[in-house]
Amino acid sequence: MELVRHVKARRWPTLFGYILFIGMMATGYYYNLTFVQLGLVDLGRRAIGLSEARVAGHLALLALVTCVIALAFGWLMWRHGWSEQFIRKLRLAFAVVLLQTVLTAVVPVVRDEVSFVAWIVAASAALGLGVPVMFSLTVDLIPARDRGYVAALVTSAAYFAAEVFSVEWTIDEFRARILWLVLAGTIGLGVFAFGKFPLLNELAAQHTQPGFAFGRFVRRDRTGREWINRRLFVLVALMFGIYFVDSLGFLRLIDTPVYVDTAWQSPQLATRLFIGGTHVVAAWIAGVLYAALDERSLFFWVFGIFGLAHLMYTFHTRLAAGDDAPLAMPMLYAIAVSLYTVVNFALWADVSTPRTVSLNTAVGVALSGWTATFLSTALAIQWRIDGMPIDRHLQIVDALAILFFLFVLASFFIPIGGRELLAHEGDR
Amino acid sequence: MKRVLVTGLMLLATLTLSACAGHNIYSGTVVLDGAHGFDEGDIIDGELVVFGGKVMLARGSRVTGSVYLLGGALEVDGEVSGDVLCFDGDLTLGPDATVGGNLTVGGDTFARSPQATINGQVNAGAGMREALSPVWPEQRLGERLRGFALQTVVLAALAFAAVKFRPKPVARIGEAIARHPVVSGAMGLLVGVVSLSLLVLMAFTVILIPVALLGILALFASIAYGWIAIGAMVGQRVARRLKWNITPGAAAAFGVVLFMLVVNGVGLLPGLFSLIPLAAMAVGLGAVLLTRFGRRTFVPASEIAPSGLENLTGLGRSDHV
Repeated sequence: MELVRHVKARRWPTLFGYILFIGMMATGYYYNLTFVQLGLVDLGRRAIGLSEARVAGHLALLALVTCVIALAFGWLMWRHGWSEQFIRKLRLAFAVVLLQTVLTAVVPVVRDEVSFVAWIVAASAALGLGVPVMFSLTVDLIPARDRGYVAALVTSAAYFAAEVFSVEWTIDEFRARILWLVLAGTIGLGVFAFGKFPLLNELAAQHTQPGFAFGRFVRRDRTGREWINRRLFVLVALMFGIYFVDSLGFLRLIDTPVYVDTAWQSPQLATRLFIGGTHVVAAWIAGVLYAALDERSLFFWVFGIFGLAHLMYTFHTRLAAGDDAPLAMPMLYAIAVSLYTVVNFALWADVSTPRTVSLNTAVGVALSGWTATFLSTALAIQWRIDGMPIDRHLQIVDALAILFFLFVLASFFIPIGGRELLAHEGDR
Repeated sequence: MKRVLVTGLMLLATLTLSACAGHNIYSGTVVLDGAHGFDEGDIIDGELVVFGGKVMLARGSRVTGSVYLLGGALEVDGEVSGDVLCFDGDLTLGPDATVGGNLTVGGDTFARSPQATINGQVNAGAGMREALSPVWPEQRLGERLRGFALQTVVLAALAFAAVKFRPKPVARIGEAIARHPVVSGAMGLLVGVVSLSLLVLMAFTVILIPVALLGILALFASIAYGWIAIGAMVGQRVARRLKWNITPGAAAAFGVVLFMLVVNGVGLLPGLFSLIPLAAMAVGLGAVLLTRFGRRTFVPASEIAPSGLENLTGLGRSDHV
């Protein structure tokens, strides 16, 4: 690990960079997991009283606006070279966090559909800006060799907190827990980003070192031509599949009391601790394996475990509906989720250079993450409205997971590309 | 060969899509609890598996597949097109019962009306219940010690043979364990947890029990292979350190004995120490898989340096305050 080397050399600015990145990303992801993904549905349905179909439509709007803004802003950052400007990115991150803090604070006044839509558009703007800005800080703060381990820490912290400390999945509960956190983060980030600290200059120069600049999957293009990494498209498709399968299945599971009350929302702390602990262990495994294996191996495991978990749920819905659900099912689910979250945090920076990271991240996270999550959320809600039984719903999700699993398996026999290239004029 | 594999996988993918089709590919009925009666004209499509509770197949009812009784009670007075297999529980065949296939009985009680029709063979015996009894019953200290000694001797003999006849694969696994214990442990833990879940699920389907048993055997064989590699590595290092003039095979056998004593001894201690045998299993299993059963040397991706990046400095631009 590079971290050990930095500790031994007492490079305090670099070590501070690790802490800053982990803190920002873990808080941001916790906010996204709880407040945005689960809280919005509760806000729309319970607090405002909208129908499932209306909420589904608004979530699709959120997906679309977030995706468009992320892509546009990622392109803008790449075009103007902001991707390579750490302090500018830090100040943009402050703007994003400030907007999210304001949005969190004003939730109690959102009580009709118009204000709900306005809130969603503003939240989309924050998310759309946040994706290229926050993720592109990876190349400034975390050396390529440590990205898997750091992603594991971010994932562990976010999921453990979300699992263990969130009992009631309501917007008010999430707001009460997260408001002080984002408020403190906003103040801290504001002071740091706009202050005159020598530390800032040291961090701002880190991405010019090869250990930070070039992601694990970047190779020099010796032809002098500008290339887009072909691997990126394959990865976007695979990550889209993962997010789609996860969200499509999970939204149905958490609407089924026998599954949610015996696992993620169990009143027993021991159960939630078990799932939270599973997230931590699985994230550690993913962090270690991400650095050690071909990235396709992790996709293979994620789709395989999703397939197995959904198969178990399908069995349970058909054979033992009404009985308590075995903990093995949410355990497998948690393992798959932690594995792919770690990959998602490390991957986009690893197919990028400091110049391309904002655009690649925008393309990757926006097209795979946001689009898939919210489209599948809308689809899951629509299927419920149409009266699709849960076993049929999970059967389709399982088929999708196994289909992707087989594609990844096939990909081991097909080279992704003869050369692995990603370089722009600015990188040479 | 690769083309055949890819084509096969694509065909499998097509089959997967058929899971979204309008009709079920396979159907069956499983009874876990409660009383369930099937009257004249009722048809159970596919297999019927009874884990518990009470099932009554009245005259005129029909099961199109086979019936498996693993617990509870089953009264048959209708028609079963396939076999009837009673592993455990109480089976009664009434005067109007018709079994299209074989009748195999090893259950608690079995009562058959003389008028019941069985078209296939009748296999009766009490062997199956014993076969299904717990594999690891409560053991006394003496028995446990004997079991441990037997296990150690077998592993030591296997280690001797492996190092004598296939030294390179064992060495590759040992190297992966020595150089990358964390990666090996992470891989082993993941494979262990997921494969155990898969094997239990397979066993639950009944029809896949033989595959699940083979899977468990493969899992334990892989763990044993990993332990043999650890033992071989330990034995050779100890022999080198103490300057013993023994063959690599003998050193491996000695190392396995030493390793087994240490791991099992530490595992008896309370608290986190009891997790050490599990950790050793995970590391051994992971190393075996990472090296593909010793067929290749494992090199982590992080140790493969990107080409052409080593001598670059001062890349790109940056801003400052």
